[in-house]
Amino acid sequence: MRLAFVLALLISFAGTARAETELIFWNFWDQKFITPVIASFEADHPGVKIRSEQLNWGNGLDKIVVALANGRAPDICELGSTWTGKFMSEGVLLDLTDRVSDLRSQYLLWEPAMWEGRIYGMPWLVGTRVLFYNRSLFKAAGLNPDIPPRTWEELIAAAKAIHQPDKGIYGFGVNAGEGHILYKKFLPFVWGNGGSIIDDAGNFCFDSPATREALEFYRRLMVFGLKEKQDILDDAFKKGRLGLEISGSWNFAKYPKEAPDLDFGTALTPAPAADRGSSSSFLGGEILVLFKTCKDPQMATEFVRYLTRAEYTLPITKEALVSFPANKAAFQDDFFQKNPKLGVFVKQMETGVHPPVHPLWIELESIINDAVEKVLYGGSIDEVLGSAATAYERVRLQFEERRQAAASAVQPASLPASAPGAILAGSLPGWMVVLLVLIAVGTLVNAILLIFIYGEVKKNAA
Amino acid sequence: MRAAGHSGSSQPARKPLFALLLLLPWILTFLVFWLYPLAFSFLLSFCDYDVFHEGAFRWTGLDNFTRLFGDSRFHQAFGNTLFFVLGTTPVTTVLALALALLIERMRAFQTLFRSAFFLPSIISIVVIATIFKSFYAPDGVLNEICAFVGIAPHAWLIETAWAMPAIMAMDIWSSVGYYMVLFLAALKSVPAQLYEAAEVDGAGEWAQFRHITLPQIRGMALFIIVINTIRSWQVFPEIFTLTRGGPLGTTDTLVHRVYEAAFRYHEMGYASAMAWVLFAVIMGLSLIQMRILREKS
Repeated sequence: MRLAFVLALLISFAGTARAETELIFWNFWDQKFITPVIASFEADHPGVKIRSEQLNWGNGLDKIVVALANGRAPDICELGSTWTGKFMSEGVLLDLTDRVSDLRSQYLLWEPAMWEGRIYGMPWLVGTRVLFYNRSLFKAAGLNPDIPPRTWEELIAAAKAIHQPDKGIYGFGVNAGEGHILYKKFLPFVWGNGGSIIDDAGNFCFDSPATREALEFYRRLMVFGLKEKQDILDDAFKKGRLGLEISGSWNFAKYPKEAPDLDFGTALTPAPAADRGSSSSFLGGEILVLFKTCKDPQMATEFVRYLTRAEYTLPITKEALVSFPANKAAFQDDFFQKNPKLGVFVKQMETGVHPPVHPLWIELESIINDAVEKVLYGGSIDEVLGSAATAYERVRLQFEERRQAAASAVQPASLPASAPGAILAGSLPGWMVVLLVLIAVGTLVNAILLIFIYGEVKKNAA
Repeated sequence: MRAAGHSGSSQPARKPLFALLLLLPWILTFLVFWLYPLAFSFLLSFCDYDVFHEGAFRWTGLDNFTRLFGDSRFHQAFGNTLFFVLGTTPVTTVLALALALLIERMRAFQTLFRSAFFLPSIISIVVIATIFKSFYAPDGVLNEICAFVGIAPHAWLIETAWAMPAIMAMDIWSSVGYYMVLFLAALKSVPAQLYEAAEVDGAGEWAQFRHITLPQIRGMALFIIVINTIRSWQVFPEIFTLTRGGPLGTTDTLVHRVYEAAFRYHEMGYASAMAWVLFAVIMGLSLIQMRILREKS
């Protein structure tokens, strides 16, 4: 009885859910930013339902990959802009070129949404980092707080003037201890100096003179620095113990509240020299993509175009303060004029660089991290750059080998899929199948136990 | 069980089926969540598996295992893990025993101290790691204590020499209470007459400990050493929250390497191979430990 009832209930649930189009949207944001947009989208598009599910940055990528491997990818998904290269090169994303190319001129951050000339995503939010400097410490060190350092030499000079470690005051915040994100902190110096990681012909060129110079500069700078993790550097800056650091807009969510007296400024990151190179920064963000398994590409594209509008992305910037709309129209908002310190970010984005979109980016990233970290801990620049090149060569060969082997091998029969499970799973979501099985087994066991106990009791009574 | 046998005696044919039915919930979860993934990962360790495409397996034989031998990061992680195990397991065990002996002798406040020491083991390790992160921070409590005693401050999690010991200290702090409670349970079950008899014979404190307490709690000690060793080989959340294997790979451990291979580089086959090597190491060590500690008795 109970089983039949539960079954009927579950099936009726599944039935109603499929009456209208329901699109699953995976994202990383507090749902208070997402729910209102979905509500107004659903009001404009009767018969469409968007179900938003929140992932977290700790294991979100794992979840997406695992879902993909099981053929259960969401219809619409937010991807970090450094992940997209892998997904695009693996061919698991839907080509959106014909559906969104009319928006090209109105948005930033197309690079990580494009692969071999085609568009596979819609830029949503974008973030960058600028130079933060403590005006009080500048004054105390005899520096002019209205002229933040514009070149590498000026940056070193300022850090040196401020640096007094015995008093607990440090010149520049040098990122260390977070080996997995050092590339974000160091690459801007390479880019500003005209260097890059992969050249136009697709060859590794990180071991160039431009990188060497940047590393030498970085090594001179770190003498007047505090080597710590980003959050500890931000905290030291908040407490007025750090003169300069390169950091993000997330600080504006804390500094005005937690340290109202902190007198600080923001500026474009310094260029190598007044007559050479340029100011550069790390540009990253969020890209919205549709997986090839998307149930309704037409409607999903419609939603993605809707969600990235300035009116829906600005509230995220204003409240969360971690990233900015990719839609350039948003920068006309007087919010940026009223907050000149945040306006610097908008200007920095013009010269910001996104890391290369490359199928081996994750490997490249860790090669760069290793190189920077070794120099941080006193490694010789020559050796470090040499081993970076060797490491890349090894990874590239392995990649080629694998690609050839995969191409020549006949697609092997996939491992035995559980046949009865597959039949059920075809019509019901996985968790429902598991639940059903558990309920069925539980009820069965309950029934048997009851019969058994009843028998025993009767026997004893007799 | 006795009741089942009793009822089965009248219908002998149904007995095994009935037992199977009773075991079904457990067997089912065992098969689905344990045996299937286990077998899957074993097969996977001989494959190159592309997670981005459903069912894209390529048999590569022993390639993953031979690659492990040449992987310097794996070697470093192995060394680090060994260092971690050797540095934490004996200290935790001895400290837990010492605390248990002390607390067992306390007349007043026994419960209070017992709870206080046990508390860390009910807190999530991620929470503990976050607390220790601020404890080890440049202007954290540890550096303030150091300044008070006259020791120069350190960036505990940034310096290559200190990062691993700092994590080990945290691990000892967070796990010692759990083993202490286990030791306490064992101590309580030692019959009091044994001590009384020993006192009559004029045995001193040390002799009592050496010849009565230790032999009596041997079983528990064995259990603690074995599970503590297994747990230490698998150290991961502390590493992931505090250092992610840095600086310069000095806190990289085997499970962290498995995680990186699987979920950062998406090399599921290679990660499975590593996991199976770790399994073999733990299995072997546990067998050796059990043999050594059993033979003595």
